[in-house]
Amino acid sequence: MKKLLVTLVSMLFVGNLYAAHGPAGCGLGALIFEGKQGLVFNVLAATFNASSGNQTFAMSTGTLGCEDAKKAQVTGPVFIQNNREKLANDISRGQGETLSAYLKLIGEDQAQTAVLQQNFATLFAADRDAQSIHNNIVELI
Amino acid sequence: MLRASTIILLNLSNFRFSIYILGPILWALFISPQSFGSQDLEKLANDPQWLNLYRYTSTGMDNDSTVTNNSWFFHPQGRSNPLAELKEAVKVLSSSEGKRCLFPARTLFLKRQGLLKEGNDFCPKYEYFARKLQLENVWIVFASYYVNNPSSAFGHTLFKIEGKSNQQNDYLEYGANFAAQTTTANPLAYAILGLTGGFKGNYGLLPYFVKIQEYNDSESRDLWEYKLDFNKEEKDMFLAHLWEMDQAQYDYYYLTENCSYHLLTFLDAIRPTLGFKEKLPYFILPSETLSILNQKEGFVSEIRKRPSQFNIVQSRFENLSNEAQAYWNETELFIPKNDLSQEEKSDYLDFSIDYLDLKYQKELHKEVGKKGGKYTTLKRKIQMARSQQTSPTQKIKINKEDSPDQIHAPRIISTGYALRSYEKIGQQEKSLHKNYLLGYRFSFHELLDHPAGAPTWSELIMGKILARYDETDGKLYLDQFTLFRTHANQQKILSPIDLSWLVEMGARDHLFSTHHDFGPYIKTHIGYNWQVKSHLLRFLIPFELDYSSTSSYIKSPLKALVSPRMSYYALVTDNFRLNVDLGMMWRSYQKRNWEGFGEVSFQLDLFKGIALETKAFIQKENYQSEAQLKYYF
Repeated sequence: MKKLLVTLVSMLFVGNLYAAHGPAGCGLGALIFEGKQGLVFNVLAATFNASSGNQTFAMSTGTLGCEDAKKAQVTGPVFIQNNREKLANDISRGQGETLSAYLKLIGEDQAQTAVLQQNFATLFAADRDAQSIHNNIVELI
Repeated sequence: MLRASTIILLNLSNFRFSIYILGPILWALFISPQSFGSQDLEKLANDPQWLNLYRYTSTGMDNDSTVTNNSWFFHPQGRSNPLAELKEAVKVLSSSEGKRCLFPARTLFLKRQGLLKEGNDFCPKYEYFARKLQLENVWIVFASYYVNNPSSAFGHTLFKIEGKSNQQNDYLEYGANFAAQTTTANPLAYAILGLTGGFKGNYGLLPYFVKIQEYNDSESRDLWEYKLDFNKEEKDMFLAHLWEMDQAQYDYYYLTENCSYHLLTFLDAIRPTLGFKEKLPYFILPSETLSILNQKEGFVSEIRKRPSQFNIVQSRFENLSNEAQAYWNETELFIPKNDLSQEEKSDYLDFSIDYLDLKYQKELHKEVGKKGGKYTTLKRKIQMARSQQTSPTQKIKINKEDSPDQIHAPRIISTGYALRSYEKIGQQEKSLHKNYLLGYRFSFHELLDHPAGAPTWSELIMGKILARYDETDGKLYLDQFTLFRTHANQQKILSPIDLSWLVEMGARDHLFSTHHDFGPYIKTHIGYNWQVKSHLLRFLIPFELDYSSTSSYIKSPLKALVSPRMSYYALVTDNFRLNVDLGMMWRSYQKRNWEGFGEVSFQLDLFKGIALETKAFIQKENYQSEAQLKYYF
């Protein structure tokens, strides 16, 4: 019984149960799945209303380094880099919110999405990075 | 008057210009024709908008700003002296375009008051910021509770900035988030620092899709969006004030000055007549932000819901034909069978894609940038099949009935009466205690509370106290203090059966004690639940451990209790909830073996915010019964 109590108490005091968030930059998606691990940390986080996570973005910078300075918008390749799976879903369906947003960002919101749908296999071949997917889409439309 | 006094000063000093008098001259030159006396300035320094823009809070006769960094203020005593700060602000902002660019909201305020000259400044960074946001509308977003992840249990609030030409596409919008800058990963330090203001808090701006990924996709939480009814002038002020937030730093207190507090005080700075700060309870939860918003009729002009990935998958499954559903249930194959129609195949593949995103989101994320990842390969195969279908994707059904703004108030005061009859351990006699009860709960939701707007099938209690006055001996006892209880009945996608778990800690009078036997305890349970509409059936194994005094019959201060049970909970009517437990109990200090027990509890809502809760427990020679009237506030 004593052993059980010691185990329970020690669970409460063990640190380093989650990894700290890294710097923001362009790889925003990397922030999402890191951290927030461990039962004790989760329970404490629930108890103390810590769902908001860490603050890594300044007001003035926002997505510093990820934007087209002229348009003050996220660039096409950065958008793909951060929304690749959702964009792939939409292109395979030939429609969707993520695809509309991307096309608007690159100034092609009237583009025929069926062309992209037909070329899904090429666009999302295993070795394609965000830049080459973007270049390929621009060529297709 | 101020300009006149400056000119007199110049005359008296025989035109001796110095750096110290250059400022007032410039101020005099830039000030609008409207002249301000000291009484006018004093009045303006007490203007609610001026006070709110600086986040002054009244501390009796004095003021104190919740902003902690000195660079936020122009005057050395600016943090506690709104008048001195106002005078200094007029002086500094009259002469420095750089400062006007840095603090456009206070500049706008002073221009509207006629204390600064109208006209545009050259502020390239601020203009870039404004161009980026193209602010058309402001929304408050509530990231809903998600019981499968306890850290999401309370919810979270942030701003969403809707841009002018974004056609309400969330992937093009921005989010403005107030959060703590946490500096430790140690849970204990985390809790202490969070409660005592040991972390700094600030605003941050980020593409809204980051928040969609975090809440909708990764944590599978609904995003409830509340559109705020601001006019053009208010939107200008909102944008300017948001920009200023880059200069502000606060102490972050998880229970008092958290995201909810800061969002509502921000809104007060834009429209002081909202008066949200006065409506704020001392301890504030994110869900309360919404009920406070609703108190200002017409301020919320529209409510939208962005469904979680969990709800998307459920909706996609409901979109399937009966035949397609049957095929999935039998095979769990992601590629549909050939004899389905084109539309049915498209629906099936749409479901498969979203299901994979939900079930294997972490695996898919880990495989980003890697060649030949197992889950990515599988998903691409399904997507390729989908890309060969031309049928459109069906819309997701969005159920707005459970909006979180409907939730009951989190705090409770209760009073009642209890009878407890226990067999004295080791003896043949019984003791009967008649108790008057008095209780308080700080937060947040229990299963017997009204479920509207609350986390589904779950409980989160923090700071619950029950005291009893024992008629038998005429003494007042602290019966139970629950530090916290986190209890989830998880919902598995496409299956009515999933895991139930509970963790609870606190201090209490030991169960079945015939005397005051107060000590710390920990309680946990694990089991399975089966959910059908308004019924919840569970098979649970609870384990409880108390540490309290010993007696001639109970030799060890550690007392363990195991009570496997079947538990049935039902939402009988809109105002009546019932819970029945039946099981067997084993106590470490009892010589007898397992004993059966039964427990029934229910809650009836009498009026808005008032409810009656009753409980009855019986176990062989022991019984308890109690009734309490609860007031929610």
